[in-house]
Amino acid sequence: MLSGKLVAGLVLTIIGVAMMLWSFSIQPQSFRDVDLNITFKEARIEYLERHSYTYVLEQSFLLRNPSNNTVVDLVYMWLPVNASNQFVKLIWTSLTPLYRKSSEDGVEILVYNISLPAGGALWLNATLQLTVEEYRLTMDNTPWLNYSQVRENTGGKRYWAVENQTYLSIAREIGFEARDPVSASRRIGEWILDHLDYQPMWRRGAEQALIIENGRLTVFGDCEEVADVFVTLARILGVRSRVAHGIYLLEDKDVVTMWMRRTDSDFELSDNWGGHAWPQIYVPQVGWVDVELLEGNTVKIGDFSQYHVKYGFEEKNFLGSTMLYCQAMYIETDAYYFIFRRVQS
Amino acid sequence: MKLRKIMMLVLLVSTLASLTLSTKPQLNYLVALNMEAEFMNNGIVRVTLKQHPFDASGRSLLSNRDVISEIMDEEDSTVSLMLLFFTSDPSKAAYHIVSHSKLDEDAHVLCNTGLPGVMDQFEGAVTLTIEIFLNTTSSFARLDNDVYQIAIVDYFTLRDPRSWIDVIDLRFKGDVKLLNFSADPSWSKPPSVANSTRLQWLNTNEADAPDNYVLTLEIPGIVFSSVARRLKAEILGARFSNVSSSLLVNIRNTGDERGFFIVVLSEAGYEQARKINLNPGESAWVRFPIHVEEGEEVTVRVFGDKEQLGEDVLILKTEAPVEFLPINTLVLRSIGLILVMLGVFIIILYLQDMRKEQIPISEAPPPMWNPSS
Repeated sequence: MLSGKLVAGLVLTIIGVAMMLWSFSIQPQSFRDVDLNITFKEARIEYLERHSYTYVLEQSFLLRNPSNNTVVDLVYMWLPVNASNQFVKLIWTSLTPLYRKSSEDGVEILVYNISLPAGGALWLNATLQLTVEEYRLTMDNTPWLNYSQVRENTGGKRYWAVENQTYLSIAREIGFEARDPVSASRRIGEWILDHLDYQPMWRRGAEQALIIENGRLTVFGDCEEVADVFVTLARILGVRSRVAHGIYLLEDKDVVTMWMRRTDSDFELSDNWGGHAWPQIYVPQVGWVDVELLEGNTVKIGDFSQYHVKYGFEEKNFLGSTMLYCQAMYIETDAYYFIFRRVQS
Repeated sequence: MKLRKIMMLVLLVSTLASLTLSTKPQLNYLVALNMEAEFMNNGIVRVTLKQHPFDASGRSLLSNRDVISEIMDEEDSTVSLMLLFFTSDPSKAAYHIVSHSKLDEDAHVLCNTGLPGVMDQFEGAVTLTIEIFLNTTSSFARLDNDVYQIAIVDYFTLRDPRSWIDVIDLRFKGDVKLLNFSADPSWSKPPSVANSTRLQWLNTNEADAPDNYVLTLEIPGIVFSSVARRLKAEILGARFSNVSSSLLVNIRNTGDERGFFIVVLSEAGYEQARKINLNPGESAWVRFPIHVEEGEEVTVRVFGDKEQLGEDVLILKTEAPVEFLPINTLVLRSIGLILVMLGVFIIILYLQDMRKEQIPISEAPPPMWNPSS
């Protein structure tokens, strides 16, 4: 006959083993409901604020022929783009362009045929009317993209490492539960800000932007890395996203002048130089919506200030876009000047 | 013609911070680019890129070892560029390298070096040859039996408007017939050679060079194999929450490969899709906002590699809130472990008792002699 102690020991052991096995077999059967205060069903999209600011933009570039021969060269001048919440009209240009060129990502370029004698220099100027819109948009219950849009517009590119295992894990952790593309984008933005170590540097793309710093995963870089990491995570989750390039006006004045000049070995920049990049998301029923993570250390989706001037986008081109303001093959650009005169607000 | 070292400026101007970043002086040079593409019977195009570096004065830099080794070291990115002439995503194109980057002293490269309208000839080139399976590229489309369209993009000009390919030489081998061709933009110059077996463009500047070349070819008798479907998934379940107007869908990867799956929800007025990446055997829930009322019908489908892998039709019905276990798995595991340890401890005590009871008398210690007794 078995002793009571033996029976008790065996029973406890069997129950313990069974509980451990059970715990390993349990899979999460459902998410907990989040955003429980949602009471509407239709998508709700509303501009809470829209305000236009108009500038006369003068952009001037000093061209120089560094060679000992007369050079006939094509010179390319980038213009701010006509896009959502930005309207551009060319008023005047100092030379007649040969033609106007648009890239597949919507970049606008004037192409000039310019002849310069050996060592010769020339100012190339253009005046534009530029209207930028400050806006605040509320977007609730917006649907995700349809199948063909997800399939065609959320793949990887050179700077967007959508197959990277680390990004896949992060996306799963922060995004699968998201109810709609805007809330998914907000979670991505919050994650980036929570893990950001902002350091100006050459663009490295999302693949190189994540590092382990003090034992913690960190987004290391500047506005371009922030934008690249955002676009990568968004695309993994099926949100159509791209990078906008342009200028950020660091001063809120009636006249803002910024410049960049070539020195013997480098470039010298004005203190208010504001080359910038930021992500955008495509929301059905709205179109492209700007996302800003570096203004006030908060996630701004559809909350866009009038200080952004868009010069180009990067979405379809596999290797990214080249945005140079004014460049040629043989003729060099020694100086870049941008004067923004606010004429109406 | 490709301009190198320009990226320094691109990166500088797009840096938000106003500080000046120091740079090391680097040699600026240009690269003459001649591309030959042979379209073969088996649906493969053999592409050879010849590169010749030169400076702004038009002097050859083929003897500059640093420049040549830099070009040779960039073979991976050069292959990507060659693929990008034929496809929008090089990672999906099937190709193999026929001949790695090498210095070919006998090759000739044509290029405009600054004198308007004139093509100079450079002796020698760094050459690289690859073969691309056309049916794995985005440029390739079947128009009719044995008739195909191939759209070639000058990727250099697409990326940087100042760059272009100096010479593009298309040859049609064996039974491959050129039926038609076109190039754009409209102001680009026509080919210098155009016959049934060859098209050649000599591009002296970017404005004259076409951005796109579209060919209509007859490739008789070829059967392109299609890649067998590898991704597999199933819809495990769905749960409607009327409180949060959302539908949760559970998907499991039932195949042997990790991959992206697209879950599509069709409701009246909307089609929504979510993308999820799953390892083999892994499952995950994704959430959709719902725009219709309870009791209405929705369809859930799952796709992988462009193919539908599963479909479920659901009537939206609110379920009772999911009762989560009061204890999570970690607590359950800990209690189990404690019980096991306790059980084992009690069993050990029992075994010790048993051992004491079974000690034979002969092994008992002898009684102590006590002289006082």
